[in-house]
Amino acid sequence: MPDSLRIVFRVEIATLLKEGQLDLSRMERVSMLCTNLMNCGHKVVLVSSGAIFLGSQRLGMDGIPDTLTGKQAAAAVGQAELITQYQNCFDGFNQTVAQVLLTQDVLENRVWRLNAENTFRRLMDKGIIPIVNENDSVSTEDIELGDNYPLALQVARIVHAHMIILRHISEGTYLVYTYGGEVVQAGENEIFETAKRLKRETGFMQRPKQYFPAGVPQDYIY
Amino acid sequence: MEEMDYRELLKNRKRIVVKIGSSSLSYPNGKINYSRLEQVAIALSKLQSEGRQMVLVSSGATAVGAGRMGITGKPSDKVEKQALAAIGQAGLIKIYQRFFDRHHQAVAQVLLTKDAITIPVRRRNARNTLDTLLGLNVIPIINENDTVSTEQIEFGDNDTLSAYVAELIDADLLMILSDIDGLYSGDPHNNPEAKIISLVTEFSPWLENIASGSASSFGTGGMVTKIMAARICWEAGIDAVIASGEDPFVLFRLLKGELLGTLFAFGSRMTVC
Repeated sequence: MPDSLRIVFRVEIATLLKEGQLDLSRMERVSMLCTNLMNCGHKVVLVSSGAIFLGSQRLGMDGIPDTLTGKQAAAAVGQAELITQYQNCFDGFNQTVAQVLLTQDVLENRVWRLNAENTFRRLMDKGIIPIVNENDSVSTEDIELGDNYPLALQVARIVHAHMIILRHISEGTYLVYTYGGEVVQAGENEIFETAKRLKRETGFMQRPKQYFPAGVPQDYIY
Repeated sequence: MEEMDYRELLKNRKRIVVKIGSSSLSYPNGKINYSRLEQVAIALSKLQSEGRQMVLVSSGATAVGAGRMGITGKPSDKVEKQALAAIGQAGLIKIYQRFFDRHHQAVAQVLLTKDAITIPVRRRNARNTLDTLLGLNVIPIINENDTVSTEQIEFGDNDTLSAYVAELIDADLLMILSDIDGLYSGDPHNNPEAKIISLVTEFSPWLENIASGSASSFGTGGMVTKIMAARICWEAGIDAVIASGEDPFVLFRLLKGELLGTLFAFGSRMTVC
């Protein structure tokens, strides 16, 4: 991926819901934005949660299950649903996607990390958007619903990302982290502007030193 | 016990792992055979509604990925294969979901690496997840998590993966649907004398030879991994069947006790000896 800017787009389930239900038009909006970023020459990795929510809904459970096992079962059902819906949405924009499920230890082992990095690179070279989620159905850590920021940060490290689109804060406005540690509130157009600026700044810097903030700012929690 | 008695026992098998390979899910040119996928979904939904607990181990992700990218032939290297698997797994699960949906059967996706079976904590987790899914009347669709697996943690083939899964969840039966309709006494491709072996009750030294790859007449692929799977079933005391995947409805006939394919009657091992 010579001289392309790499963007991690983090989506939380709350972004995709309207009145407690999956709102396909919101998912479509995310898909369109990602595709547009790809179409203007950037590389996008989508990190999306939502499997447990969709799974518990599909299984007719009353809310999110309390037990780890319950969550894991819901995640297995819901991940199938989530990736299906994403694929339907992206198909509408003629954008191919792939599914990558990671466990938390992928960064701890050099070989695994390299392996994941190679797969991501190959997918991005082919113009494909990897859709990443935690492999919840087998992971052993307790699953914290909704907070997929640690995962997004891991992915940003693996792919040497320049930018993380962190959160949808209000209709059409996003919170963006840059590799230099800036926190920017941006509308859709400004996301493209910021990407353009970062690309100018970085030139051919393919492994930018990353200063992404370690967490999500509290004042932007819903 | 007579062979018919062993076959009769299959009727009552409740927790069943079905493995179908990519050669059964695709045409000779490597393109995916959608009607085959649909038949698998119909067969498993039907068996599930009879009160059985079905688990599907399905290959085909790489084939779906290659089709999507317009690539023909084998992937050039490992990274390419992993990339195609990531693309194709998304497509594969989408297609399965559509077909199972038509029969009102919920499915789940579970992607495993070998450490999910070998590391005790993970093993317990994977087992709990699968148990819970089966208890909720959901059919888990399992595949290797190709995208991240490296040599140390890969199963390498879905035959052994399916046997490990059968062992993990205490299945009563493993059914491997393949491009070969059973175990032969020799290599049927170049030995006209070779005959299908309908019943195996013991994991003999002859089978051990095949599993270790030293019986060269069986080549490297195909039968070797299937016999390795049979060995895992032998150790765990689980019945296994190898039959042709050309018609997935063969599952119904096998579960009615018909004499088809090869039955490895290892399930009664524990009670017999």
